[in-house]
Amino acid sequence: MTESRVQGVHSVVVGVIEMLNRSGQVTQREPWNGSMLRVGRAYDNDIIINDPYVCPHHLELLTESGCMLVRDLGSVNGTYAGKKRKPVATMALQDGTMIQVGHSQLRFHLASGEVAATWKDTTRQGLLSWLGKPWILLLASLVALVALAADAALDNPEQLQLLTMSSDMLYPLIAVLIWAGFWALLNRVLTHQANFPVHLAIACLGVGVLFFVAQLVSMVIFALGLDDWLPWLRLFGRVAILTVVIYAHLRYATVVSMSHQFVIAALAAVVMFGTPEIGSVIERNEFSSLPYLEPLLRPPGYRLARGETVDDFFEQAQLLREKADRDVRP
Amino acid sequence: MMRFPPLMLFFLCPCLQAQTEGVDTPEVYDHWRNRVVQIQVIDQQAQTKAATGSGFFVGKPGWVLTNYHVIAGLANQPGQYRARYLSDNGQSGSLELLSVDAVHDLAVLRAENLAPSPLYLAAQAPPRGSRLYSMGYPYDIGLSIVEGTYNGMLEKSLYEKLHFTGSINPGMSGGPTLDHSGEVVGVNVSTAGNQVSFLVPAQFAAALINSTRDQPVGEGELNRSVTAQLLQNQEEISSRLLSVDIPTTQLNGYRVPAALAPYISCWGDSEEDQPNELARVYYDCQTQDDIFLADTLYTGVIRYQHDLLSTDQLHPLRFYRQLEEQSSYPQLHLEGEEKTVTNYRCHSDFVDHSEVTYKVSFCIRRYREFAGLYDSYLTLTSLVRNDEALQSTLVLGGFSWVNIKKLSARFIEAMSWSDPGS
Repeated sequence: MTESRVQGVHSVVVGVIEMLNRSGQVTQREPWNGSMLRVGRAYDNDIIINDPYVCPHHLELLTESGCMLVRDLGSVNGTYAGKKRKPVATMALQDGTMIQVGHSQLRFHLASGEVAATWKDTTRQGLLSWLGKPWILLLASLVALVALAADAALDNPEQLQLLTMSSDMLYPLIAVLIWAGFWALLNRVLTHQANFPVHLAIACLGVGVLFFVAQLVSMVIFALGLDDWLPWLRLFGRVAILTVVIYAHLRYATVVSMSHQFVIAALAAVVMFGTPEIGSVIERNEFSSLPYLEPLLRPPGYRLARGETVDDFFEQAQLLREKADRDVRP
Repeated sequence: MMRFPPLMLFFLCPCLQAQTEGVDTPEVYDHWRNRVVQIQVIDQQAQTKAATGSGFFVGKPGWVLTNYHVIAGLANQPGQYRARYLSDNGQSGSLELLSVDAVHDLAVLRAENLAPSPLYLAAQAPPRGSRLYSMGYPYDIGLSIVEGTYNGMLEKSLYEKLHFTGSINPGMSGGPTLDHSGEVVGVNVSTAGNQVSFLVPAQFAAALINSTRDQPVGEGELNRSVTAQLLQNQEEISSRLLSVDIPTTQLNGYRVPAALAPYISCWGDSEEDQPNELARVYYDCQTQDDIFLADTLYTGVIRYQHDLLSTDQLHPLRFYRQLEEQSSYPQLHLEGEEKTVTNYRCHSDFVDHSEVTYKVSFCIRRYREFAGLYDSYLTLTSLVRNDEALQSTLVLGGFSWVNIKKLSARFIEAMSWSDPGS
């Protein structure tokens, strides 16, 4: 049992009454020393609840024969307890007992009750803590700029000019800033810290990784002649990278468990990248009078796989004919 | 550089009659006008015409010859359409489909309650320069006669056609073109504009008339008949192409297929644009003709092109990104609708031939109503040099799988490369 001073009296705390909001978060904790404690809307209660569905004197907590109890004081809307929300007149309290009064919830915890393990703050130690270092932001920005410049250069067949490339890179850069700003705002709302440099570093690294990994994967696919795998590899690759990026943002911006952060990140990545990619895969199966072609082409020196003979190539293409024949069947 | 577009052929419907010295056009018109009718394809729900063309009486009593493309709606969707004739003097009645020759764009119908004396088909083509008369119902505005000149057989046509210098207009398709004696020299079929018009030779009309039975053709029988005609036609084209060595032409270090046959026309040009750092040499070839099956289904075509691209400025990665971008957008394509063809199925891989590696993409789709016929799309990029690459595309429309394989393989095998610097 824990000792505490309540209203100037040195007493022993036997439990804690938690008041919860609608999303289940604790808004207030009141230590309880086991003596009678009254709960209601009136100002003379030990715990005052601002809920019009709660009576002025709604319930009381007390100890009888060494047993901690909750007792309804004949309230208009009743007192309910446990997961099944059974109406109670008098009920024994256990560690974690939920009590519903009006539209409000209380939870009882024994002072000796177990608390969850302490979360390790990986934003301050370990790999993620590096994101807070200034030189990482510098490096990440450089990576993103190089990636965007390389992408602009690859897409443009004309002679490279600083002005043209800058205009090509402008919109992606603005998008990166907006993205980082969004996460900083969320971070600020949820934890009272913006961490904008950290979110900017994560966004820049994400852009860089997306570009360079995409290039690397494309080169491997080309080298090995695995073009038929391209749509699915691209889908999973993008979703995986975006999951990691969003997870890193969430580690800073939210105070929920790592597993929840990962699930949220994966879902968000699927919605943001996966849905359009799945849509484009589906679109490829919708009718078009044009063939859907996506041949990967890289300079000859990047090729590793041996080429088929002409005859072997068309023998393999026999599968296409079988698929086309199947397409005719209703 | 500007690429040369394919020769655009517009189907029409004429009617005509002939005269020579001592016979003037009014006489021709008056004498043969009752042998030429307008053909209307009526939508059963709208109860009005969805398409019109022309036709003329030939062969057995009541038989009317026209173009297949005029009555294609009736042939493809007999539940939705019916056909009727409308004569110059206002008589009308229903038409029944007896037979078709889809390859030569001809159809024979039987008219209800109308059987004027038939026109006769000329046994041989007239001398070049002869005066001819085309008759038909242009633009649904009534019977017209057009005077023109016979200019011989088209030399660069996959499907034999006569060249008629005269203004055949839309709606005249299926009408007759007559010589001075009133014999049908050809059936109006298409135009390239500016008085350049085309006729189906009378010999094909005669062959169809001779093979036609005097009873309506059923839907299944019609489909089997058209499928057999298309299969036989592509077989003949393929056999001719595969029986000879493929002629080639030189594009810098590459030898590539040139005009495979006289009926394939090739055009070429080159460009060196600034500030675009790519230089191009084009070589485009295609058949000038096709077979009409439906509004968005033209078959029996061969098209191919070679683009030689080079750069002396771009990094190899940037150069090949441009090639990748270009090959993602089909340069040649065939029309099609979901109800007529399946989606393309594609496969890509490296192919080695004559010490050259190509990145090859190959796609095919099947015709839904004509079993055994496919369209194919073959595109390849040579992987030889960092600063130069050949991109070639071959499109085959309406061929059997076996012939697509053989023709596509021959196309690749005809290519070779030698270092121009060595």
